[in-house]
Amino acid sequence: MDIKKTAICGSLESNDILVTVKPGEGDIEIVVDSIVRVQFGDQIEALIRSQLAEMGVQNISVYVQDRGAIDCIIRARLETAVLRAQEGIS
Amino acid sequence: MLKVKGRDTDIIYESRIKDLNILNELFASFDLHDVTNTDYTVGIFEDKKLIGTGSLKGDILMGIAVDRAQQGCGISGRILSHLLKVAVERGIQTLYIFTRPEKEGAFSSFGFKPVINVPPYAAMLEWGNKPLATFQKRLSEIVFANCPRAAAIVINANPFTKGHQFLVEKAAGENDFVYVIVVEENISDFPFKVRFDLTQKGIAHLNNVKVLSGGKYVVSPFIFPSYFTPKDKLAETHASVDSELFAKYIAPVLNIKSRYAGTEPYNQEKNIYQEILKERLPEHGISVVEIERATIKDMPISASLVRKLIREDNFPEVAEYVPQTTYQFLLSGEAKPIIAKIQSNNET
Repeated sequence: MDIKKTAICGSLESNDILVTVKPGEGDIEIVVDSIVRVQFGDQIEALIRSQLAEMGVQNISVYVQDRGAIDCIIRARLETAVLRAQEGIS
Repeated sequence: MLKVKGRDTDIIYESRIKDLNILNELFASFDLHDVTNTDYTVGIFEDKKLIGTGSLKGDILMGIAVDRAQQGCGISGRILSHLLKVAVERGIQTLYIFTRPEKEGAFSSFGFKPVINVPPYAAMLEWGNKPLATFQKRLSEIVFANCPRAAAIVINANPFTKGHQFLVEKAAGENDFVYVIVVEENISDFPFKVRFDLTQKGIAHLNNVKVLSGGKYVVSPFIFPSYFTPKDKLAETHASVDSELFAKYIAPVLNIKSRYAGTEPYNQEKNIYQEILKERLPEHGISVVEIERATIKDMPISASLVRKLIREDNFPEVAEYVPQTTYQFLLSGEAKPIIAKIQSNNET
């Protein structure tokens, strides 16, 4: 699945996450900014990586600002952002 | 529409605001002036009462305010999320906020990265994928090799005149390496690309000079938001922020040890700007060198004088004050819409 444009999903409200995706520079780049980064930063990144693999995305830059979202919310936000980044779908 | 915890009867909703006058009451309670000419403004309402707002103007977020009684209920997060989405939909990938120094923490808790904080004046924060680091990397790629100390000149060049040329030549004669930094914004009559090109053409004969863009870290006074600063302190606030950005993030990458500027006989605001530079840059080991402005027929050369002559359609006189390269551009087809815009504008 190709990332064609910048797309955003989620919010900065408590217990949510704001995911911004854009076309990568040949591979997967993930930047995690989280209020619980010290405890869960690696876990959030691993979760994003596995979901990207499931969706077949190989060239993407992901920037997430986590406000304490649980896993299923992170997955849902990422999936929607990736889908929005497909050309022609807004 | 969404119900908020603990407020079963009230409905809080977000809506775009076109008539900015409805913000006045909320702004007044925070001692803020009005924001004007925004690209997009959102309001958060509770039963038709405005309880929060925020705006987007270019890539700057501004005018973010939440009713005191509603603070701590997640309203700011909604405003910021809303504005970030609008910005990304518009293709903007990095955003900036200028705010009061004590508000830095409020924005950094939402993932905005502090860039600079200059009490008592202002703080600047940014959002996106490491915009400052990316800018500094770009600078380091164009740095002169083996350059232990360089001089810098920051100009708007609206348009590039013989005065700018004189100043650059002067600095180039006194220093081994000179950087001319052109302010990047597209509010000036001459668009950034044209100002940059004409500067490059105007210094092409000097082989120890490089022209570069200040990116978002040389802040144009036309872009600097004025709503949170008393009007009589605005020039001072802008100058303090801009000189600290220069000293902290630009000068170290380029090894800049001195900054050249022409004297400002006419413009009070630019005078204040220069006074602040003289006060702040030496603290960072950068000396400020003021050069008496070049004159032609006893008239100090300035870009505003050139624009005035363009407005008066007096091109023979314009030719006296600008280098051949700028003059040729003014005669080209590309200059027609710019000249038309200057001539339709009555400001002095």
